[in-house]
Amino acid sequence: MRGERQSQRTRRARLRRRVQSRRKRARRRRARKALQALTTSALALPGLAGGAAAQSREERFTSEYAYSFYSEDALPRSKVTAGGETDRYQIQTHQLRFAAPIADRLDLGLDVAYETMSGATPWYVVPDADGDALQVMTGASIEEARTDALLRGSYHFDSGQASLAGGASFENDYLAFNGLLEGERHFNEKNTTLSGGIGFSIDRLEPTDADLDPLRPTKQHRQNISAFVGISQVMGRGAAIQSSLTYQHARGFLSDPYKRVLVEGTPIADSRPDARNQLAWLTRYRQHVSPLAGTLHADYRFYVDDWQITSHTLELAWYQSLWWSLRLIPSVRYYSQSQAAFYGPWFDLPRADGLYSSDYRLSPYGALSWRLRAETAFSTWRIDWRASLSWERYLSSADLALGKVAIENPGLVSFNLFSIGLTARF
Amino acid sequence: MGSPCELHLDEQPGLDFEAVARAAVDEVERLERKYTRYRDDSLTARINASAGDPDGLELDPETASLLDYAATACAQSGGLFDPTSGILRRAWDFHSERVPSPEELTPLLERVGWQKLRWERPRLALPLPGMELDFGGFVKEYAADRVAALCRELGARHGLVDLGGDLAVLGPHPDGSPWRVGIRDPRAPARAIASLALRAGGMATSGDYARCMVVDGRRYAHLLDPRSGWPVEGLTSVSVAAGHCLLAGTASTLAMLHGRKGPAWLADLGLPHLWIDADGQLGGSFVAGRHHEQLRGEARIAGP
Amino acid sequence: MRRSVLLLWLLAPALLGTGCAAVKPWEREILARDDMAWDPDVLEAQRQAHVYFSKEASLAGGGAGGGGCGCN
Repeated sequence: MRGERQSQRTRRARLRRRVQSRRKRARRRRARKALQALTTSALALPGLAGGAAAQSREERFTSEYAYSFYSEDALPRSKVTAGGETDRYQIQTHQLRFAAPIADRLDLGLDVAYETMSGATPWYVVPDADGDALQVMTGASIEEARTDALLRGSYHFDSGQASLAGGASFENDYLAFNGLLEGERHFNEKNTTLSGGIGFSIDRLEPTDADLDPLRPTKQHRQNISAFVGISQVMGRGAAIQSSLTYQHARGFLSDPYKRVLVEGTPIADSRPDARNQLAWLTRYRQHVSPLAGTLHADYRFYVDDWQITSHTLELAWYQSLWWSLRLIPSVRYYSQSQAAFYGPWFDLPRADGLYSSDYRLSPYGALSWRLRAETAFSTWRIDWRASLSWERYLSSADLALGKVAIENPGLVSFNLFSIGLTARF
Repeated sequence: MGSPCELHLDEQPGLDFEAVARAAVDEVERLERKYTRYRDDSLTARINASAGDPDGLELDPETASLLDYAATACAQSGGLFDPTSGILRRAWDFHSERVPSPEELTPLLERVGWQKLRWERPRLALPLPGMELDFGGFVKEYAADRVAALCRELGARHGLVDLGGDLAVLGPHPDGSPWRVGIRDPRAPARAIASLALRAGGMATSGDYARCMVVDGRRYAHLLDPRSGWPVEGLTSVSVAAGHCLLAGTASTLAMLHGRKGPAWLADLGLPHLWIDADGQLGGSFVAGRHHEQLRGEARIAGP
Repeated sequence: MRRSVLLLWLLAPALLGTGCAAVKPWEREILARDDMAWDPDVLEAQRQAHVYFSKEASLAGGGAGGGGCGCN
């Protein structure tokens, strides 16, 4: 009997609590709705609607410029065939970006890049008398220019945005058109954001100096489509995390027309499959540390494709705010990739599928790079400026790889990258 | 505006500070001249003089929008926010230490009530003679927002407008750091009882700092409930921060009018707030610690 | 041991979600800082992505960027 009465009492108490919390939730909903109604009404007041601080969309016209100088380390003579070129590639890049609001909910942006490239590049790899790998470099110093332009329009909804972009890329030997449609939607008072998009690229190659190299293919095509989905979540007032999956399917001529590979003693044309499926999983984390006046960036990317390459990338950066609007950003990046199934420095025996490549970019190796960047901001009449200066040192070697590497590709690259940038917002 | 007004502007190369300051002062004076009830030539005086006239008068867009805002606030608060309730003040003579009789209150209450006016944009009519409209409950906060918007239009990007405790932020300091504002301790007005970091938006404080009247052992505060005409008991000061000073002011006024239910209402509303009650108790989302002797509550705001 | 690890993996997304109380729009002043953005400097992000893309085998990730070049 007593037990029954007790359980009745607990049931009643539980019911009361449920009703109370339901009423509380209803009260809260009413109060929030009241606040919303008042906010809308307040914004209707003339001269107050423009009061809110700038939001994520472009409120002002922005123009940005950056110049960078990329210089690869010369190869040690011991790694190059006798009489071969040891100096490598140099690239000078100019980047320009404009962005502006053009209507109530529409932004337009234009990105243009122009770069000039020169230097010798790896051609193929041969074994020396001891079986060590030697790099054969292209003789001629290639001088090329690349121009890239992308036009982008973004439409802002109340809880998200959608963007459409289209662009083209030209080089002496290359022409490509690309398009992209992407969007994002906010939930949970903008604490959670879902994003996704699809893109495509259609490329046409017309390798130069085909007469110099009888194996060099003439007119080739390739195309790819890609898609991504991502989710980002605010973890607290000073932390956020984002994770995204990107998939790309490429088809067509995917080999490098300027490279060869030694197969059974004969240098044949670089021969890669005519299809490739790639998947990248990128997770980024941002954490502000108020007492130190700094923010931590941590990014990890896992990559896998059907050429059997898997890679891991970890990037850490520390944004340190100093006095006088100065900011110093040291960062470090570690990268490790495994090799493609059809990669080898050279081949003594033929492969059944007829696929071969000795490109160092498909070889197993690891890379470590560190970067230091300095930024400052200042204002002149009606214009807010930002200036930046950075230097990166990148080293790659088989020793840095996560797995064991039998023969290090002699063409692995190490470089310095200097850049300066200037942004104006008005 | 009846209280000390300040404009704080940070160093900004190329900005014509004098022009901005002059524009700010002009705007405050314009709004004061237009909406004060202490001048015979103000718009408020003209509106109140038209009471009893069923046709009423046509209002300009700014006043029309302010009335729309007041209508929304009145509707959303169940009649607690009521700009027609100013006349109830006449019944309460706090110097005489006397409680009004029903014969004094009833005729006044008959003329109070937003639903009793006819507001059809752009025409406003006060059908009952003796009805009065008082913008004082929200025009100061509106002025703070207006001055901030005006200064921003003129190019100022780092500043704070302070109209007697009603604050609107133009923008944070040039290095991005927020403005630190203190909330007055009602028992020791020279001291700050809590501080707040504001990067955008506004903050308003409603207070009943004057001493209450005590008659026959009962306390009567100054703030009157428009529905009954009687004082509201409960809180002595409420500070609220919101995306606009106008919103913050409405919220702090309503919280005070909710009396003892104020703290719960503020918690439901969800805006950063601080309340101090008649017993000196503190509470609200500003309050970080439990001991208000060493109070150092912080709340932070970003734009909407 | 294996079952509890699996359970942790299944619960992790839920735990992640419940651990975060929603940050209100007026509490976003730290999140609004530019050094809290995914890419504080767009040009730098584009440049880095392009350099690594042309010197390494991996896909950049983080978007379906259709931009192509002859460099890979």
